[in-house]
Amino acid sequence: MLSTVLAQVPQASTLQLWGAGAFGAIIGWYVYYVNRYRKADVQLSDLVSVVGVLGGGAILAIFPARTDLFGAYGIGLFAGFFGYLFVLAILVAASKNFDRDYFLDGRRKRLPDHYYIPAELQQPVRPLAVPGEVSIQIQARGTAESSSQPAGSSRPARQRTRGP
Amino acid sequence: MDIAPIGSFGLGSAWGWLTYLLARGARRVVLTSSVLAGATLLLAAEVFILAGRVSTLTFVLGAALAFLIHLGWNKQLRSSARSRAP
Repeated sequence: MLSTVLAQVPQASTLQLWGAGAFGAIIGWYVYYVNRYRKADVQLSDLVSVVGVLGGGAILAIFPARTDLFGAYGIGLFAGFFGYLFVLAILVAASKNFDRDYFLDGRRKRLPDHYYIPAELQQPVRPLAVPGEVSIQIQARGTAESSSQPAGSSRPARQRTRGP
Repeated sequence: MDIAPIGSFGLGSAWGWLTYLLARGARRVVLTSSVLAGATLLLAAEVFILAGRVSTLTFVLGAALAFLIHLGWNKQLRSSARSRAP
């Protein structure tokens, strides 16, 4: 009886599998991106949105139960989500302005006098973690050093202490 | 080859990694933890409906593993930053 039921389950084509995987990759990449640029603290609506995006009604509607499409979606999601982190890690490692502590709270080298960041550019807030005790130490130190900040830097002190 | 358990592991890994990020940033810890636990159950139920029991297990395994790896990495970053601080 089980074999009869399984025989009736529609099989996904290769194109459908690749499509589901690519869809998952975009969702995964975008979820990491959105969370990295999130400025406010976590709200209940954020959690609802994340759950809805990762596995909401759309996923249930798009992927029929017992097909490989859901598996392809999950593999793509993994690739997109951790691909973002991987690319970020490569860029941080390649840059002279960042070290691995960037992943802790977004710290980076202070801008030289002739460089500035335009105020209208959005800064990522959470590369990996959230402000913790290390950030608080930096904030305390940053307050003491605020008088020595280069005149060309346009970034407000709060953003600098909280990371990208 | 059945790829549903592998995909469920991938979904669980992304969710576990994200769970740590969201839980760490929360002010109301009890409420956020409860909501995250509920959301995890919801996702696990979805995986069970779509892909079955084995996939649900791999989803939970992936989520737990990613959560712990993220926690460990964060702790290691913090301790190394603290040890280098003047």
